[in-house]
Amino acid sequence: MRGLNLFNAETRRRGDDMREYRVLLPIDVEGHIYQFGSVVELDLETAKAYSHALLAVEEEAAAGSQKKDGEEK
Amino acid sequence: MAGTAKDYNVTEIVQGPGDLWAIPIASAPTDVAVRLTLASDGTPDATTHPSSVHLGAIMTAITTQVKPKITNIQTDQFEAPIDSYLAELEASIAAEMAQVESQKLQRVLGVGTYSTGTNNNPTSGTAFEQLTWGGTWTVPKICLACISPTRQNPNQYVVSVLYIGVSMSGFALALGRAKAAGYKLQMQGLSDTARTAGQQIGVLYQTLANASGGTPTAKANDPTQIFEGPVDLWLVSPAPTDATMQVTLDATTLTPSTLVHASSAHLGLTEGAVTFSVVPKIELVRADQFDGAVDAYVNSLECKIEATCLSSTMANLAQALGVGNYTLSAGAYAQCTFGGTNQPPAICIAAIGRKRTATTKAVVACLYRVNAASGVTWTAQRAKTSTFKVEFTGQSDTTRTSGRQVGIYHEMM
Repeated sequence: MRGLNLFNAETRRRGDDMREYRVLLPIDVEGHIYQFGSVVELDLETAKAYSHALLAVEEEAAAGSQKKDGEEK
Repeated sequence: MAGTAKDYNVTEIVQGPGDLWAIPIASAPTDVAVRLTLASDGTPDATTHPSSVHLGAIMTAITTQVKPKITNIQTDQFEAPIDSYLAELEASIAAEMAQVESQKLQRVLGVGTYSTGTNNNPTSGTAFEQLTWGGTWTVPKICLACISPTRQNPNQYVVSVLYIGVSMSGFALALGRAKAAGYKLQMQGLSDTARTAGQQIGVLYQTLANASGGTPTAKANDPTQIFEGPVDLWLVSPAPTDATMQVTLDATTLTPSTLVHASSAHLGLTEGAVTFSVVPKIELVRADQFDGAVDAYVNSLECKIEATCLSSTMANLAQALGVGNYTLSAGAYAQCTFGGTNQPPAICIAAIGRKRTATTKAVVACLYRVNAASGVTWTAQRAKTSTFKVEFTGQSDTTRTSGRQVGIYHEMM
């Protein structure tokens, strides 16, 4: 597992597959606990391992804009 | 004058299984599009409802209940109420879940912390999943949906949705040989204060056209995650630490490592299943402007490991009694004295079993700090074996990190 979010802009490793995720259920990633509602930056591999408890912020934003559009399929 | 037609229509009788889906609130049905967008296979459309999670196999039934609490308006002049008003509306979805796996247990517990990775327990590179609890008080919210194909047409569906649900149930697992370990889920619907009155809590509907198109979301039915089989009860000493949260196991026997937990003791034979439960008491926040609750918080957390023990050794009786004082004089006697010990010792208890379909892999339920609470019985009787019940109730270990102060469920993957 890689991509530990250090929550430190200076030391944070940024890769192409790093994305921000909303935490839907509390998770412990390499000893750091992220609570419900917080945002965590993870690499894809780590995010997959915790996928049941995460929503990509991009998808969250997309869903939010869809809400505003009021589109019903 | 023509009569009014009766409505005898057997196609209106609902019967059939369903699936449960957890959907992030951000991608839940909206105030305008109140229903789910279904893909062709009847699963939530992955584009409209990203990160939806299937909750796995269901033991028996999924029950959606919408229950109003109506108060009558009574006046002195009339013997019957003259009107009524809705005081509260409670909506819930309940089911008995089949898959005993950390992610799914976390969903019903809500306030548990999930972790996965690899470690050296019991050998290097062992993949694990774990769930810890104790010290988390924010109650996660999720949209919950039950989707069930109709009896007449499997491409059309009956669907119930709670837009904002909170888990009220926790879990209680009976880990034993006689029956697969299922656990109850109960999600309560909250009022979404941002939605239009009349549709603030949920929706129950039936589709009348075949589902088509969309992007299906994978289901997670996995029979290997159904647990059945015996577990052993262990006093683990010293307890796992805050840094090394898991019970360290011996690679061959899958029992507590004598190197790490040198003073551990096996509590012997048990009668029937060992019950392991983690049950938060969730209180609801109500506001007079809404018929449903508007938020939730954790009032308390009750964690227990319970069993009926067959091995009535003096050592076991002393452990179960808690306030007993065990003495062994090898070759002479073993004894448990009692009376005058006010402070029961805190011990660590674990139930350890093997996966049904992968017996080289262990599952461990551990409470870091417990007191024995049930006392002991010792019965001299011809007709029946003497047994005693043990009930170990988890306490918060204030020296541990929030999120893992009470206990852990971990499994080798």
